Amino acid sequence: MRNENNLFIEVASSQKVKSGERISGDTCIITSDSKNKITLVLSDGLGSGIKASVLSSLTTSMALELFKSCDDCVRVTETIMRTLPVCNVRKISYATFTMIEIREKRLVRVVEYDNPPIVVFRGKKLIKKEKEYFRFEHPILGKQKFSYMEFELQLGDRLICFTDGVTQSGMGEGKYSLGWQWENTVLYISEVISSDPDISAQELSDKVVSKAWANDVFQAKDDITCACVYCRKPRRLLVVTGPPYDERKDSYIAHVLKNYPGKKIICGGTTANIIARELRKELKVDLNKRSDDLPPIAHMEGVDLVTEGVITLSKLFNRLESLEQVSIQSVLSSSNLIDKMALLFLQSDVIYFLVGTRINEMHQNPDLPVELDIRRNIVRRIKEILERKFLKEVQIEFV
Amino acid sequence: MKGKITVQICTGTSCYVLGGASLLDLEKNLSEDLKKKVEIKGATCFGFCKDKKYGKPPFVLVENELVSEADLHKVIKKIMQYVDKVVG
Repeated sequence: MRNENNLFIEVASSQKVKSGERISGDTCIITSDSKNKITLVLSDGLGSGIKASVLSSLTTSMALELFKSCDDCVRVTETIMRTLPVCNVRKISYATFTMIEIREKRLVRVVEYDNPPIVVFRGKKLIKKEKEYFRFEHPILGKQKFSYMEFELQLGDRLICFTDGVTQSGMGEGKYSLGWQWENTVLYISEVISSDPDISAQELSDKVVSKAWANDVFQAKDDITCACVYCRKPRRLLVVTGPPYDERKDSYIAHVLKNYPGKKIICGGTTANIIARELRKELKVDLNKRSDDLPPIAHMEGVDLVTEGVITLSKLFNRLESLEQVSIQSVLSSSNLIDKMALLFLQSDVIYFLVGTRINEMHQNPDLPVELDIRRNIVRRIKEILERKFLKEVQIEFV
Repeated sequence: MKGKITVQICTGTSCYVLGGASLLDLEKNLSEDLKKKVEIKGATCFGFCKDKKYGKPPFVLVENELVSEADLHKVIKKIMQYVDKVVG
């Protein structure tokens, strides 16, 4: 979400709904406020289903708004806790929450109220940050406490928070008859990070949730949610599409592609021809792996994907538009070309489009059976959706 | 037997939307005998679509001879012409 001093902060969450429910009682909202501040709030509503969902949504929205307008974490937390509805029978608050805020200067602030404690890893190592505890008297609930901590985020840091659906998973089921518990969850996270030190925030939260779900023998006994923050170097993706307006720029786009530090996609046959010619590389169209409704892909050494241009980009836009956070999993395992391409985008943080503006007049021919949009318009739409929906950092250079 | 007949099908955008998509199934439409004599390749945009003098897409090159407004019938016919010449 933010790329400063070559650091990138990835924030992601994953969720499983309690078996038999249609909607999760846990709510996790991640916002990026004009790229200066990232806020994550995870709330667990009492019970499950719609009621819990309304309560946790209420808590999350309230927390986000209050933390946005007021800097005093302690005051904000007290206000939320006083305002939240309380269960009169059980005398417990209707929703718990964890708030993580990351500011421009990499200052992390965490407020926790009744959720399992947040886990902080620096590289492969679990680190303990000092927490400050605040107590206050609630008119109905009596003595209440919440914790606050702040620290400087460093490259390789991970913050992982989860709801009690994770720590209590497996309760009454063989191995973890008392539930998975916080210690075992942390042990599992530690093992995952050790075996895959570069694991993304999304994959890590997916793994924690999957494991908790497995503990519950694939019938979640409570809503299971995990959210992750990961501070790392950005994963970069270059997309070169379209021949340059001025042919003298042909060598420029080839040069950019050759030296780009990240993954590379070429969208467009003519573009691929130009780059193959400039870099003296072989370009081979692959007729074997074909999607039904798309021109075939090609292969070029040093390039991750070579596709046709505007049709493929339009389809990519439609796919990104239809993709919900929960269906990202389906993209991961799909062998469909557009899904594979979408995955390259989703697995990158910084995406650079190098867009040639020469127009193929044939594409504007009214006799064409399909309407082909102008390349730069499609790219602009893709940029907008990547930024708004997937919180990617996208730049476009026109040549 | 001499070399195989090379057939290059343009997979560029214009060719693809104007019927080139069905040409990619060319191999399935060849007789077993012809299949052995032909090598089918895909190609990125030839650039013929940018100049009207070459005719209209989709374009196919059969042994470097251009077939414009190509369809399966035209391409197979062209291949047949070459079968005698090249494969002999």
